[in-house]
Amino acid sequence: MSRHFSEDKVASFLASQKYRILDQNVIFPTGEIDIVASKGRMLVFVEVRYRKNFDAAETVDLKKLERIMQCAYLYTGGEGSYRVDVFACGPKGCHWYKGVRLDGCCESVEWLNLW
Amino acid sequence: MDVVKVWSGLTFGDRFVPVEIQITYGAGLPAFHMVGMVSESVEESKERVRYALKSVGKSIPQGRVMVAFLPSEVTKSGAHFDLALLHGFLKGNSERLIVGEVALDGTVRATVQSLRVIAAAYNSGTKKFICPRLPESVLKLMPDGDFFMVEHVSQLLSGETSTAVEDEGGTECQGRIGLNDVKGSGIKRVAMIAAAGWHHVLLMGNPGVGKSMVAERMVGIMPSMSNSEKLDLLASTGTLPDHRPARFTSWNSTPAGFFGSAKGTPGEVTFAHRGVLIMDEFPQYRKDILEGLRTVLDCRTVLASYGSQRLTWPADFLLVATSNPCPCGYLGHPKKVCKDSPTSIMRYLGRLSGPVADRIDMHYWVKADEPNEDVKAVEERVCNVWELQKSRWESEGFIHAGHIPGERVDELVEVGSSVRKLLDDSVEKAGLSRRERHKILRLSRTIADLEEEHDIGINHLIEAISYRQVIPWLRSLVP
Repeated sequence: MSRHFSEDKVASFLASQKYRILDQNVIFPTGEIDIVASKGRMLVFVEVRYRKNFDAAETVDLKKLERIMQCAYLYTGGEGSYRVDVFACGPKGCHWYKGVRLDGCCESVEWLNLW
Repeated sequence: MDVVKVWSGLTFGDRFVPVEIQITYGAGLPAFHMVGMVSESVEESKERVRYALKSVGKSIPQGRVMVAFLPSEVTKSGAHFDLALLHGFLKGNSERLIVGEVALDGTVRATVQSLRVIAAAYNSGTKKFICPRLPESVLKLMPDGDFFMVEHVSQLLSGETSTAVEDEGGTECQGRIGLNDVKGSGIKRVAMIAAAGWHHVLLMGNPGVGKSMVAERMVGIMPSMSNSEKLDLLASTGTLPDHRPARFTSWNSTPAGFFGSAKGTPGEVTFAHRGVLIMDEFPQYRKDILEGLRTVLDCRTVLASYGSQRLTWPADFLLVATSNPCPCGYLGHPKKVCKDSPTSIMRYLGRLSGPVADRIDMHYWVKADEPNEDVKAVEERVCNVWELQKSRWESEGFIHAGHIPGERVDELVEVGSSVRKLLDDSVEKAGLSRRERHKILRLSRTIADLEEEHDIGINHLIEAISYRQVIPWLRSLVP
């Protein structure tokens, strides 16, 4: 299972959830955003992580979050409403951290059986 | 918000500081945060706890874990908080004090720091513990304690308690070498008086006359340590010797190693608490150690200040110092000639005299060709004096003649008028200080007690005064 495989899986999952996939692998000076999606007026920036042996979410530290936030800012120009989601994938499925904030807290966590 | 609260503690010098550990969870990306002035060793406990939980098939709860150590103003260090954290994750709140280090496979171990915390907490009134397996000798010191001992983390879940670690047999007599193999009746007597009344000794002599040898054997003639003495030693150093400690120190020690550092490690003087501190080649020690020794000898505690932190340790040791009379060592030798210049001898002796030597009760010149008579029943006589002096002064707050505070010597040590006159005369003639006068009185009290006499006689006083004449005699030998 490659990294792109999991990203594609997540993208197709989001599409099935009525999200519109706007972009994939957008590169900014501050980093890369794996998926940019939208639902209604809400823009969603998605970071997908895959680790075979341990919880992938642990690899998203505050520095990484900061970079994603900066990319999101560059993408939107600071206008409109947007949120950052993290998909932490393992061999059995994914944790979907919705609405992650800069300090690592999030609105909700969901377990998905994607594959 | 749900907050799990568990208790642990740390030692601050010999003082116990309870530490409340609060654990709370939040939704979010997984993270394990610790706040409250945690040092490296506590920060590392995250990893130990993570893997120890794995060993019982659990894991740290998903999401954000926040651990707070309170009071947050004190630096937390040591590996003994692991077990408390684990208890918080596995079982939740606890009223008991929890200490212990966990290994990756989930076994629970006792660190030096955890022993210190348990002993200090017991001293300050805590009775219920969750802790690693402790040796029987340690448990014996805390008869009222309620110990839930765990060998493996799984016992926190099953509620099974482990038995104490059995002591190895035959340690009772080890390290107790009496004075039997010491040659010379005079030096044996000095050792006996010093041990009986807790009087510091300075042994002087030419090289190879057996000064250090006697120093080593002094603990062997003292009574065994009482439980409260052992508990004090355990609380301040984390060590529990089978017999009174005899600490050999080195003349190249640093002040921090000797008196204890303000960062929390006790020094040699504390390790020798209620035992003997041996300072071989006394004048060779660094000046700051010799000067620092003054206050320690007076207060019998050590104080270390570090920023806003003030640590005190007990340091009630019996000082046995040894020294040569001059740099080459042969001043006062019956056959060999001293090759040192008068100035170098005076400089050498100058390090000995003055305020520090003033505080040492007995100065003794060890001769190579002393007659060797057997001193009978040394241990028994020392033990009798200890009991006698203890029963006499325990209500006053001390148990040895050597501990009588200076301002109360005249009141507590009564002497007849003829003895007092002799004392006053010799003090005036030799120009002795008030402190030296008090030393002489304390010493004559012990000598009289050793002879099992109620009143201090002239002969006791003369013997006591004779123990202050070595340095003036050596000075008179200098051309």
